[in-house]
Amino acid sequence: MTEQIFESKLLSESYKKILHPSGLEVYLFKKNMSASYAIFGVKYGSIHNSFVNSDSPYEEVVLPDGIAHFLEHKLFANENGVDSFEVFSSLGADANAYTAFDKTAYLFSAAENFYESLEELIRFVRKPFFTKENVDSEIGIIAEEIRMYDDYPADRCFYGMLEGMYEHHSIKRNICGTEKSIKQITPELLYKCHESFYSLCNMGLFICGDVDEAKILEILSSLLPSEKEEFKISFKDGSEKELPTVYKPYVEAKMQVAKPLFNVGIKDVDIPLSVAERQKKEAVFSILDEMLFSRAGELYSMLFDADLISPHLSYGYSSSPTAAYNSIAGEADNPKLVLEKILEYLENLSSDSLSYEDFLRGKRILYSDFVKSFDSTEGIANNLLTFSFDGAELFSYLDIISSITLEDVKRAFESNAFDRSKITLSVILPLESKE
Amino acid sequence: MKINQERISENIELSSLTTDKFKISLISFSKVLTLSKEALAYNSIIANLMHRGTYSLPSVALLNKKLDELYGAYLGIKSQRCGENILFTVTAEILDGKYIPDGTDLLQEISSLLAELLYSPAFMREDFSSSAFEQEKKLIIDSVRSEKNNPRLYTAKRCLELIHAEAPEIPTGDEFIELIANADFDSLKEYYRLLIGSSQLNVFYIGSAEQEKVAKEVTDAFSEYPSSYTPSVTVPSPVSKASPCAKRENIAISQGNLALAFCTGVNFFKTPDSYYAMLVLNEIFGGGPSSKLFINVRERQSLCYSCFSSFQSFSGILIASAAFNSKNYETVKAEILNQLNEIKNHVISETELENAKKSLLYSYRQLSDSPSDIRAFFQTKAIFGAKEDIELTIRKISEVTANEVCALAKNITLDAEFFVEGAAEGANEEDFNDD
Repeated sequence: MTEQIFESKLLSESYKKILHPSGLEVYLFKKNMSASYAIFGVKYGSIHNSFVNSDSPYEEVVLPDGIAHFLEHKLFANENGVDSFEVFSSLGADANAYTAFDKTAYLFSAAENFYESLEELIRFVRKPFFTKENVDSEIGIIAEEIRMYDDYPADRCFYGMLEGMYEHHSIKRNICGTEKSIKQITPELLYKCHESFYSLCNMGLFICGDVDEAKILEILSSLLPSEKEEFKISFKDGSEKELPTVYKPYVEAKMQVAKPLFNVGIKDVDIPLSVAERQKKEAVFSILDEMLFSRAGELYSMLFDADLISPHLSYGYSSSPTAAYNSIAGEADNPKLVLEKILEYLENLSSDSLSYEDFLRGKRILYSDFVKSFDSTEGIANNLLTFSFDGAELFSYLDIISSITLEDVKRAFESNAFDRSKITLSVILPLESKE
Repeated sequence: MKINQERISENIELSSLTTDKFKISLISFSKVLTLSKEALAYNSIIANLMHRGTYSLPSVALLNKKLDELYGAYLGIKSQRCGENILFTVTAEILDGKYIPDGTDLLQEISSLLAELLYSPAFMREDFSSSAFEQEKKLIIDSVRSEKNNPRLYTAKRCLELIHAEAPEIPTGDEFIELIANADFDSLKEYYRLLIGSSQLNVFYIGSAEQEKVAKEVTDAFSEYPSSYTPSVTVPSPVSKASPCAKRENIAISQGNLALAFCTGVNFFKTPDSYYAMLVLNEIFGGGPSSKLFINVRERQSLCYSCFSSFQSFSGILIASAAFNSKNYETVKAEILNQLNEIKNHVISETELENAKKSLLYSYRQLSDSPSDIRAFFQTKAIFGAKEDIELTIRKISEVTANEVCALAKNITLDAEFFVEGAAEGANEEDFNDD
């Protein structure tokens, strides 16, 4: 077992990374809180629908949409008939799980019986139990979940943005799948996904709280193999076929809304290969976004004072190894006009107009948001998961933020990032709209 | 956890918790006001208008630039009904001085900013445009009309309106829209003058500063503002039982959404002896994944993804919510009521009781890990003259028996129902991303 310690003097925090003989990376972040948090994560999400096992390199496996999410639901079922949620409840732990585009996480938070809960977490994730009966009953539940999200305009607007940006990338597929696709899921397919992706070399365990390292290592020794579990999967998500330009510049749907919602997606296929470069780019664009789109900025004032947008405008840069984009979302009576005003503003703005004062404010916000995230065991554990799955080290982000200059931000602005060919507008209109 | 309470001037009551546990400090200023329909409308508009700045920072942009300069200080302004009162709160979160590179202490600056925001807001300037006032009214009306964007919350809200139908001080959604639309700027300014002059200021602080320092900064910040006040606090009473009623609405969404409301006659202030048993009852009924609703309506019958209950501590209203295929309305409603009957008939296993208590104990124990949760727990109690700490709450929950839960349940009958009927089955079979 090898271990590394990472420290931040600025934050007065430290954590340990342990590589278990099984291949599992374990992160222990000690923090004096009343409740401790644990996540058992796997690098398997909704985009991993087409893959190849190196033992059978010519056999491409293609799976129904929503299977990663379905698997997340079903793993809580056990052969003895006792659902793992009941076990966590009996221990006084608050358990949950989520599936994202590129990962699935099983987690709990506990103020007592932490170690017993950790044992249950590792045990149930490692030991799948799928039958035709329990899969069939879950189809009904997940169908209702899909319908629930279908009724949320913000969700539909977001997926419309992805549909507009990407032609081939499986990121545009709904994480839950569709009512049609989940009916194709069988116990055999679920077992196949589990044995392919849930190898300890493809997973990580992230713990934050007032915990005893020795007790945790003892639990891992008793539950995990002492030999490395190989991970033999390579997958395709369609990103290699994506052009720099968007697939559709405009996507529209009509729903029961009083006022139109919009989501502007700005596609970015220029994703750095190195993790450090990718993180720096994300940080630079986060600062640039604050300078361009925040309530303190000229553009927001122009749009809000002209009564073109509702007060809440959200924005951000999202980045993973195969997909990156900027997005701006809000409500507006005329989303097309809002987009036109945004583009006019950006096209008429020169990088010389980006002031040092605004840059400093953006940098302070990025720094402050990062520091504040260390007040929550949930925030810390999830950040550890995100950073480690991307091959990055958590505290190094402070150095990255610190190193960013106004010139970096100006270069990002000048890089043609906001070219019209890279922009899609997703809109949810009221049902009675004549557009 | 010891909260220090001190009257630091004629009209300012300070509650503070000094701790190094967090990287942020939280400070909030609250006023308790007399409830009326007009006051609810005026306070909503005032809360929105305050985002347009102060006398010295008279715009959204200038106010937000200032917040950004204070390392992304968070500002929240909220007006909410609290029983027979309105609670108007301005809250700020700032980075602790330890994490500011030049060591600046932000407490003095944020206290001055909040004092100016409360007592010298931009909308009271002579040159403040009445068109901005009209714009805020329109935005509030848009926001009320957009409540349908979240079908679950919309359904619950409409159900609660039925309970409050005969309450003269509580407007329905449509009445509220009318009040906002008819609000007059001069009348609002007159109301605001009464507001700031007539009620005590309740300050709550959590952070690393000592009580004396906080008291000094707050006293200094508010020294030039009015200091007299008239007590206007009404300790909240549980809502009386309404005449049972049910309503339906057709909305073009996929799922049906159902809300069932029960007036329990129990709340923290008036019936403290029953309050904790009521919390346990809610948890057993529909509080989480080991609750009767989750296990029987979702897991056993696969009727929905979301089915749960919640208990409102001030009003004493218990509300059960579910989202499902509309054709299953009778089955879902019957099962929800059946599970409540089980509790009435003492069909509560030892496991159900213990799991419910453990879930509650967890939520109260981990409360001390979040500044905003600590504030929410202590401040509202302190404002209404109650003193209770977390440890006492935990002890009282632990002592609740099944007999007490059963006895409370026997008095609970259905008071209001609101059902939003969604589309017919099969309406959403089509894939969003058909290839």
